[in-house]
Amino acid sequence: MDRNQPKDFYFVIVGHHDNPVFEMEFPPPSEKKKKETDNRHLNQFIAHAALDLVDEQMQNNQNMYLKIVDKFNEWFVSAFVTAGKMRFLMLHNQRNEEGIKNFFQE
Amino acid sequence: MESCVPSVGDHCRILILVRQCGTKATKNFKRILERLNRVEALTVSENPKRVVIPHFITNVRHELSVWGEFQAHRRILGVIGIAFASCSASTSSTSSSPDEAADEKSTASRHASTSSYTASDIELIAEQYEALKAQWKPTVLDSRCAVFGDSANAVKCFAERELLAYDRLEESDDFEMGVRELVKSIYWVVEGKRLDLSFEKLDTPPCPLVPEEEKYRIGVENKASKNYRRKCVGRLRKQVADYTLMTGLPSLALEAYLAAIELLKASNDLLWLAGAYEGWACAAMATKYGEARGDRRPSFPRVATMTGRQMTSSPTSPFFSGHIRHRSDGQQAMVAPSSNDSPNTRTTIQYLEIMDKFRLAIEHYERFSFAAFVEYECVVKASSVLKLEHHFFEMELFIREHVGKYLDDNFAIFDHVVKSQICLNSATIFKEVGFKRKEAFFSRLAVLFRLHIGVDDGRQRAENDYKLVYPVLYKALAGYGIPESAKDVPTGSRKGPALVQIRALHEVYVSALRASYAEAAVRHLCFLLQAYLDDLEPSFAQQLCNELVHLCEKRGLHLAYQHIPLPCGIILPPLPMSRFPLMFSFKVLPLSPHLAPVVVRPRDTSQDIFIYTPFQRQNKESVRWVVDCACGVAVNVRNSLPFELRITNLSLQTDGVAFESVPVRLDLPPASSEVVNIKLLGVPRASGKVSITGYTCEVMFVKNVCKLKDLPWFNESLTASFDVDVVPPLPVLELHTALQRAPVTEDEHDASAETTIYSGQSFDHSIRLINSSRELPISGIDLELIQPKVCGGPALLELMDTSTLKETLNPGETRELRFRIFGIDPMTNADDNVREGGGGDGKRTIDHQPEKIPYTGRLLTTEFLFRYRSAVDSTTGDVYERTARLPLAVAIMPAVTVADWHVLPGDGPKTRYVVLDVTNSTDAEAELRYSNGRLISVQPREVCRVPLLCPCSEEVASTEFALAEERRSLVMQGQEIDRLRRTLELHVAEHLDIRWTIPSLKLEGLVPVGPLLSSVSLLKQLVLPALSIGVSVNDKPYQGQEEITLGIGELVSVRVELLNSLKDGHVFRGTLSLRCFQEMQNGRPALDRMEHLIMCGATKQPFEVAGSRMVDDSSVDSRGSNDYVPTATLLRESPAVSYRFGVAFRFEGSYKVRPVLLNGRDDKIAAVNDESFVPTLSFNVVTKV
Repeated sequence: MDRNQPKDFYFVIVGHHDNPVFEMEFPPPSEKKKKETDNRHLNQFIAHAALDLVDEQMQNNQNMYLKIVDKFNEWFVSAFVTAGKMRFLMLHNQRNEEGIKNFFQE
Repeated sequence: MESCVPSVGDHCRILILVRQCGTKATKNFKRILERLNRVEALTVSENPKRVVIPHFITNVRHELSVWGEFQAHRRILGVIGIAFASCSASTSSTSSSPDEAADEKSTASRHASTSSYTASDIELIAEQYEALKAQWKPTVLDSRCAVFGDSANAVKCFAERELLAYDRLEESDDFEMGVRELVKSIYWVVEGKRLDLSFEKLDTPPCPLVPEEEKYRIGVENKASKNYRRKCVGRLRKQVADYTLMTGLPSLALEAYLAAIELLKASNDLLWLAGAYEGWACAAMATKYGEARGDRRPSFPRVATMTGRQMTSSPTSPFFSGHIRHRSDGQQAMVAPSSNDSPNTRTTIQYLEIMDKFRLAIEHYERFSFAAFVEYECVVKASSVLKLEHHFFEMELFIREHVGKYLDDNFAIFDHVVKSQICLNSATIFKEVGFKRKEAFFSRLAVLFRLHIGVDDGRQRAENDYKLVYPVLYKALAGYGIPESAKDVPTGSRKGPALVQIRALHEVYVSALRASYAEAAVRHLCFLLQAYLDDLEPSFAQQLCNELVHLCEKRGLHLAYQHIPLPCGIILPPLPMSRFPLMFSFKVLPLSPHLAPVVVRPRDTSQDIFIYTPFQRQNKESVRWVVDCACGVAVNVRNSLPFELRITNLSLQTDGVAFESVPVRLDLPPASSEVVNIKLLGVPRASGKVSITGYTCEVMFVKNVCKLKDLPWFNESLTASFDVDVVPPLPVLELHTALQRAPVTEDEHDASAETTIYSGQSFDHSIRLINSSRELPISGIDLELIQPKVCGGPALLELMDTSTLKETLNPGETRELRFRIFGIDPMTNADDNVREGGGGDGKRTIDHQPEKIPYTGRLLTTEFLFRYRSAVDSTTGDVYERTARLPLAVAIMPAVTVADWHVLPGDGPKTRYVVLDVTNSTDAEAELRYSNGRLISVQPREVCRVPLLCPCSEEVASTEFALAEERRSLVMQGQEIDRLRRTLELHVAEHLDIRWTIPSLKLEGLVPVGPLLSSVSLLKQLVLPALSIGVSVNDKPYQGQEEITLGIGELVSVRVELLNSLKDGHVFRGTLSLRCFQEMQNGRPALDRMEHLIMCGATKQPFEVAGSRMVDDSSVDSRGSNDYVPTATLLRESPAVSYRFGVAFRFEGSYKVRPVLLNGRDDKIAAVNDESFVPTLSFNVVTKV
């Protein structure tokens, strides 16, 4: 993987009906990027598909932080589940397990 | 696009190619395929139990079939040619709808039975069949050709062994038998190959090769080397192992594979080693899970025939609901041990061991790029181990790790078709384990790859590409949590990932549009708008609406209430677009009051128990409609779109009796919170029950049918309120009057008639009653007059003749009803009258002086209320009544009215003067005529006093009022007083007749004395008191007016006459005396001047007055009956008793002398003093006469 490519994050909190409760992209998309809506909705598709794995993991894993649950192309999906079964997903294009774990646990 | 997931079971099956020969008959061919799929495992040996399973395919992937040498299950071992009668083929190929399939089959078979092959047809079939055989010649072991149609001809062209000929498709029951024979014969050949171990002994055994293997070998091989021989034997052993597995001996195959692995490892033949590892793993799985046996999946996964709903409801496809997974029993069955295999082999192999072997195989395959697809298939098979072990997460991880690389853009070995297929396979696998979101994701990915083909080839994406991807996209919708029917889409956050869903739906819409499934495209667009309008960006919503209009405009009205069957087998459900517009608050409207029927049920005495329940009340209030009478439902409509919405043909949908809806056209303003209230009209055409079930409308060229029960606000409890009883046709009564009509209030249906009248005037008018119905006569008209209650005098409205109402009014007939309006005194009517007590004073009611209020008249409202019914009896026994109202507003202008009144003693003990203060409220001079021709004129705005002499009534005894007040309740008191009042009114009314004329205005009328007559206190004074007292001075009756002039000391004789008017025989006893007093006219109490009076003779005289006595005491009770019958005839008049006093005055002055009755013991005497008019003598005593 190209280490020089910019780090992108897409964070989403998913409700009980798979509905996104909160979405955030980091760094905030620039004007130019905003136009590339294709990429942006891809995030949502990836996050949505990863939910199957999060749910599966929730059954077998007592931890709240589920580490990287899914990967598609350059995107990794890390997940965190609250006690109330709210699912926090983070899409990131570089492995940074510690950082994401810290982010979730804050 | 169909998924074709490689499975471990494939290794255990005999591959047989099925192809059509001659002309194509798709439907029939599909049927044959279904039948072939039902050919189960064939048991070829009982001990050990061995089964062989055929695997029928229709398409061959050439690049894989060439690997037949490498893996036996890829080899095509048998061929079946299928041929149908030609004419049936032509009919079936033209039709597309699955609904027609059944008909078609019967037609096809009918044709087949009658038609016969021509010689050329048969030859063509034979030719194609032979070509097919030749194509697969190297591998095919046996073949058959099934001919459906004329079997006799076919026999000539084919070898008998290879021919399965049937006259009709229906009569081909032993076709399966023939196929089994084929499988069996192939089995024997394979079995022979399995047992052929001669290569072990050969010095130079043949070397089975994979097609491109040579190219990749580096350097030249020494064919004489030991290593080479090991390699060859190893490969041959592996082939034998393949055959062993295929012929139903997995345990044996395990050993055979191990033997092969041993040699191949030694010879470092990595590709074949990988194949052997894979084979071992597959054999292990077959023993462990019985993969090859009972739970055989259909080899032709024709998912297209299943709708999404079927798939979700199918027990073999576990789907999530929320976060809760329910694994289906099907999967449980797969891991359940089957009794056929020995438990030893079953338990000894761990799944991890199998996985290890798969991993080894994959590792080795990876070295050979040309074996990529074999490697991929191996990966999928390996993943199925994890699936069977329910390690879904690991399975996903495994697939992701090993399959992901194939999908990379840089991976060029696979083209996009293969990549798309891989994605589709992944989707299918995820579907099987219930990862529906993953399934949706990979389905979409598969479509993206599929559509990428065109870009690579430089050609445009064609309609066919979209036809392929459309079903995939459509079926993936469930994965995004989108229900099949729009009405099942929840609201708010329960909807799920709305943005993703919108995107997915839009993609489905676009693909349908490009696939030329225009109807389906419209339906998807409607779905998107209906379910996701709130989540769409306004501009996008607007764009979608425009597209919808544009699409439908071209194609004509889209019928949203119909299913749409598509050639790909998908059937789209109907869609009620209840959002455009939003309709809510449906309310069944009752008919307008003059048309609404009232049920008059015949009194059923058996059920006449008075128990009040709220249900009875509800029943009463239910709405009833009448046949042929326009009725309506009120609806609130709101436009939720940001532009003006035109709705046409909006009408009600009903169930039950015939109902004619009247379509409405609406233009709704752009989205706002503004709610438009409309009325949907209709005409019931038959009597019975009609229920409002929904509505239809056309919006944006989409014809919608919405059921009320599908609307979000609807709940079951409302159902009853949309059921309406329709009663048989009823006639309509119209009312016409010459009076001017104008509506008084906004919501009133009937315009009021208006008239203005001066108080005291009376006018005659008439109403015309018309039966406006064409057929139905009207009978039983009841008239109720609703008017201000007057407590005395003539009523405001009086009917002249009501007999005309009794007769039946035929259709079209007109009848006249005459009535009189009398201008009652506008000041007082019962509505605002103060309830008067018995001791009320006449002045109380006239506290509000007319002069003080600027006063132009008073508007009184009255109403004629006709109740009528049809002369035609209904069959049910219920009688329906209608009402017709004619409100009448009468403005009464004051003319000459009574302002005040007093009652003064009359000219004798039995008469009274009623003194009226008559006001002339007009601006002209009025003349009054009263008491037999006396004339008096009143100036404008002046008051004039009119004395009217009125005899006392002897019909009511004075004590009766007192008795009435002693009654037990206020109501009874009121009734009794009213009865007395009416008796007195009759008596008095004739004496109070004052007529007025205003010559300048040419008006004349009667002074309304109603308020007087309603005053109990006045009437009471006109009753003959119990004890009347008359006085005479010097034997001259004293009239009560004049003053008697006397000198000091002049003796006068005062005679006091007592008359008992009681009829109950009461005798008054007491003492009588005179009282002298002086009135100082200064407002202070009168001064007692007894000392100024000299009484000659007795100052006090005892008296005894007997009343009239009954002749017959038996039974006549005057109070008991309502009709007051004067009982005077039955009485014996008792004479008056008179007493004399001699009186003289000592001093001059003005004195008053009145008789005083004294007796403490008799209560009634006290009452007499209060009530009766005790005449008072006035004396003017002077010094000189």
